[in-house]
Amino acid sequence: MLKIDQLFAQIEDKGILKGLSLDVKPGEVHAIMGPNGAGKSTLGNVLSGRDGYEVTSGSASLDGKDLLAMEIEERSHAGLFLAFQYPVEIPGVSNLEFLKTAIEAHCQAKGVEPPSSAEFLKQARQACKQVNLPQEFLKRGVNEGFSGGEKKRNEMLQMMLLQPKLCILDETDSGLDIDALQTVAKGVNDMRSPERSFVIITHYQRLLDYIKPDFVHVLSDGQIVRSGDASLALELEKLGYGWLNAEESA
Amino acid sequence: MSELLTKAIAKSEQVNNYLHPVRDQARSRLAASSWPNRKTEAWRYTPLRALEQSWQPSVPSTLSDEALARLDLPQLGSLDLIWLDGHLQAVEGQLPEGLSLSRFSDLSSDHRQSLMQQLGQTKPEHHLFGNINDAMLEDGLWIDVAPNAQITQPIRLVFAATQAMTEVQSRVLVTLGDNAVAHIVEHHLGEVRQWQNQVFELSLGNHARLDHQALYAQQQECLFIGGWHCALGQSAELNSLVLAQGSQLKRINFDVLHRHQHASANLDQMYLLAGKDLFDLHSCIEHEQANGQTNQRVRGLVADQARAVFNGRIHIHQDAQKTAAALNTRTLLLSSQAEVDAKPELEIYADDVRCAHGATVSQLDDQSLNYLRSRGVAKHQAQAMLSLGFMQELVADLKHESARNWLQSYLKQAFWALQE
Amino acid sequence: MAEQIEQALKREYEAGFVTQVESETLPPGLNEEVIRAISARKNEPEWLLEWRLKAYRIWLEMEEPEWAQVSYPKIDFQSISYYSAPKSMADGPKSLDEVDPELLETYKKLGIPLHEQQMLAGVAVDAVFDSVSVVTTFREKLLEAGVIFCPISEAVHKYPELVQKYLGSVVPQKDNYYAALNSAVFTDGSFVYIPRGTRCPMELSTYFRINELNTGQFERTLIVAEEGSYVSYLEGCTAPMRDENQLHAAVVELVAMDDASIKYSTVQNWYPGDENGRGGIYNFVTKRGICHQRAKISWTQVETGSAITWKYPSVILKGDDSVGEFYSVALARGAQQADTGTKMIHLGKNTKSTIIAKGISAGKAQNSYRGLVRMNPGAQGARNFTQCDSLLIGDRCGAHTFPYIESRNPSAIIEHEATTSKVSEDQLFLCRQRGIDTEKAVSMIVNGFCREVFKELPMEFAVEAGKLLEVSLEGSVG
Ligand SMILES: Nc1ncnc2c1ncn2[C@@H]1O[C@H](COP(=O)(O)OP(=O)(O)OP(=O)(O)O)[C@@H](O)[C@H]1O
Ligand SMILES: [Mg+2]
Repeated sequence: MLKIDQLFAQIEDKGILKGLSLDVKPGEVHAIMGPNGAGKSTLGNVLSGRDGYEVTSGSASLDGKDLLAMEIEERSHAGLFLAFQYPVEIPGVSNLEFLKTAIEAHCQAKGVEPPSSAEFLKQARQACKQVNLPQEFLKRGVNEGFSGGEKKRNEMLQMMLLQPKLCILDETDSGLDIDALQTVAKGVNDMRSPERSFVIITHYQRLLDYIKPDFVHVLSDGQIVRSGDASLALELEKLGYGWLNAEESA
Repeated sequence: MSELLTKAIAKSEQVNNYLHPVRDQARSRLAASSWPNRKTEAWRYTPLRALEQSWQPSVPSTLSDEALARLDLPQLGSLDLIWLDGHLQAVEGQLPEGLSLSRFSDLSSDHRQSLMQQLGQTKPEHHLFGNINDAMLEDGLWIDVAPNAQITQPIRLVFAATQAMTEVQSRVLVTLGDNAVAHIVEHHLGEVRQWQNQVFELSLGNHARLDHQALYAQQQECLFIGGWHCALGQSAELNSLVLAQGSQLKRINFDVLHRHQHASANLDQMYLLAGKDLFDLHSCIEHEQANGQTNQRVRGLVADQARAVFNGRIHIHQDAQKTAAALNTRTLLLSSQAEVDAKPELEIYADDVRCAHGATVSQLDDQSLNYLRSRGVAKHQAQAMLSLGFMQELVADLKHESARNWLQSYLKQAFWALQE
Repeated sequence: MAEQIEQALKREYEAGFVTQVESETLPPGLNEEVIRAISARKNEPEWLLEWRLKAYRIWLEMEEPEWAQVSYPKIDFQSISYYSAPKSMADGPKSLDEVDPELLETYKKLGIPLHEQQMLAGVAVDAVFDSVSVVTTFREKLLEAGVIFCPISEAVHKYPELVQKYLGSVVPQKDNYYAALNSAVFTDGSFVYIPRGTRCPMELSTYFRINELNTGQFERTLIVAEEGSYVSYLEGCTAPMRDENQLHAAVVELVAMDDASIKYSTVQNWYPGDENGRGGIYNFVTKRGICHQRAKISWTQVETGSAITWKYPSVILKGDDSVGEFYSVALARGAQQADTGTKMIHLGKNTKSTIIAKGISAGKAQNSYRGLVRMNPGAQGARNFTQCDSLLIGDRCGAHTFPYIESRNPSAIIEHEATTSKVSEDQLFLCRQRGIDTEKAVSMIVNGFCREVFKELPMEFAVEAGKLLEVSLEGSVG
């Protein structure tokens, strides 16, 4: 599904991703961990095409299509979804209006009829329930005045409605209370399917207690320095990233 | 009433010293100016009637030791410079290293040249009273702080008015070299009928820091028009607190120019007006370069039949991206005949900036009043406590302890006088 | 990125066509003869001619105001024609069947069909074309409720005592330069009278169209709402695309008697001129209302057009407990300049005013909010809240705020806030990551910014206005 090969990317001449490779097959869940500033969010941003990042070499493709050649919204239409670490507020634009516009754009790109207003509203309400956000949040401005946890749940809500193929969750677990953490995990687990993959960026093992990853990678200084199965996360939790460095230099 | 203009123009031709280019330029600007009236935006709310009379030039004088002692503020530990009716008294004691004080008239010819380069650099051309000051310029004081010098002792500039029916033009230039630090305290006092026209020009080098407090305590018939124009070097820092009482006419123009990047200005300004005071504060913050920061807070208490005028302009130039500028002004009217006219202005030509202003005019907040009363405090007492607290908040943030104590006790005293 | 946003803000001016009708136009120039000619054409009574001439003499003594944050070459008032009307309208307004089909077609093209059966139910329209009213719909139906809605030139004949009583009562001839000019040469506009205790059964609207070259439009609108009545009124305006500037100097007067309520909405879409500031309408407008006891006047304006906008809809809160509101969106793109805001003059006790002003600047445009809130000594317990927000798009435009706050009463409370922001990269990225293209995203974000104002537009027009804004924000994304 997602294939990243020797990806180098920089911001204003400062190299951030330094030859990163990753292969995510349909249905898989990959967790990415790593110290602050390692380049985890950068990876999500580069894959989704954010301005300001320059890819100097390497490739990334989604279902065989060259991601890097596409516009931001085309990548979205192709099925890429990024749940932001710090979701931004859009004052005055209601959540509902925002979601409807997004879904219509997706339908248009696919050449299918968008859902009727009634149908859409039903789906939106359903999704609200699933992420445990009161219905009023649909009428409020996008993330406007939402608490940290509410913003994260709103990201999940968007993910459920857009039904992407590849979901990148950038620290969706930070700032969540215990109940919300379970809500998010349940949302992801419900959405898991053989056709859909997840890349979950997190600092904590606790999310992975609920969402069982197939692979765990450690991203450090712009590269994947270690990959393993779910047990790698447990080890990291116990020993910290220093352990990796010590091992390397040994 | 363009008599004042005519007089200034005439004077500019009479004086004879090396400062004549300044006077000449001012003369031609004045010749092209007209006397402000109600339609002149900068004087819309401030009539200049009180200036209408014939003023005599003040003459040099000395104070008795006793009178001098009364001007003393030992707790501040400051180096004091005293102007009596515009005439600077001899400075006593040793100057800290890196600080130099020179009268314009005493400068060597080399220094005269650099003075001429500095004068008029921060003062806007259209400033009418600045031009009058220029036209009549005979002498002044230049305070220079050498690069890297850290002058922690406050330098207190005392301006005392004693001669009635006189006119006083005074001029001060302050320059701080790169990385220099200084602390200047202005202290204005007097109650006699006098017209003072003052220009303060300041220029801060890169990474320089100036802490500034000004107490404008002139009252009653002491008419004051003054300009304070400060240019900031790269990463320079200006921390200023102004406390003003009112008189029949008091107008202060307070300009800060961010001429380079990354400078910051923290400006707190307060006024307490009573009787028939007319007080007018015009501030103008120019962000010419990027990444600057300004935080301005203005608080006013207006009692009796006093009038307050505030015009706070923030101007963000096209190159001043990433500027953060905020102005907040709050005024409490304490009597049914008090008046306030406020105009906070934003003029913005750069898109990536954070700029905001807020202005409120009101009485005391009922909630806090009721809260205090519910705790048994009498209404008038509660009102006084809250009004004083409203002003004290700003003084309390002052870092320099002895300056804070001084201004706090002054504020209290002035406040209780106003309550009577 | 800013470029992308600016692109998204570009658009075609859809109302820019010219209607080919034969017109009767007075030669350019302004003097007493011209005023007499206008008055004669409208067969006006003597008092009105005198009133005009008095205004003209006052105007001659006045100076063009220069305090606004706008710049333009001096207007040559002698090069403008002050009266133009389609020849077919020579005998004054007639029934719809007699109106030149070309004119009807014009309004249809602008989205305002004048045949009653085709119209939005519940909306009556007065269509003003250059200097005359073409037709006013639903008049009979309104009259059944006692509501008068007709061209002001007709009201002068049919309801002279009402017109004479109120004309100039809110905006006197000498009020300002453009009001004086308007008083001297005004041609047509609407007259509305809502009798006591009546809730106007329909939305009323006037649609202004400038068509003829080199003519100015000087309309005059007067709305009187008697005790306890209610009316909602909307005006729209468009003009052809021309390289020459054209002058529009209107006066609107509102009178809200005790307990009456007037809601006045404007969707202003005059031709703004081209990218480089060539052509476009100079829009110098004086709008003011007076509120008696417990009355309410609410101005809502969406200003998207004109090369220059100079406009400060105001409310004099004379009666105790009266309410004034001002909701404004001003969009300035290209080389447009807007200097607009409001005045709230609090005279009565416990009067309240709310000001919400949203300014959007893009391209090389300059957008200023200028407002006055005055609490007079009698305004015991009065309150004002003002919020001015500016949105800047690109680094060559300007957004300015000039609020005047004057308080003469210690128990009055004034609160004013102003902020500036931009369409942030983060917001755009979020939208695009969710699949929404830049153009839609910008339009959505800008609409969101204006939401508090849009929700004040009357229901019947919300869709209409929404579409207009959509048009203003849509365009060719490169
Ligand atoms: N816009 C930017 N300009 C300059 N440097 C940037 C920018 N964005 C990110 N960086 C730098 O790139 C590096 C990687 O940042 P990134 O946000 O990808 O880290 P992260 O692994 O997600 O960290 P965290 O765990 O704290 O979220 C950091 O050193 C960061 O400071
Ligand atoms: Mg991160």
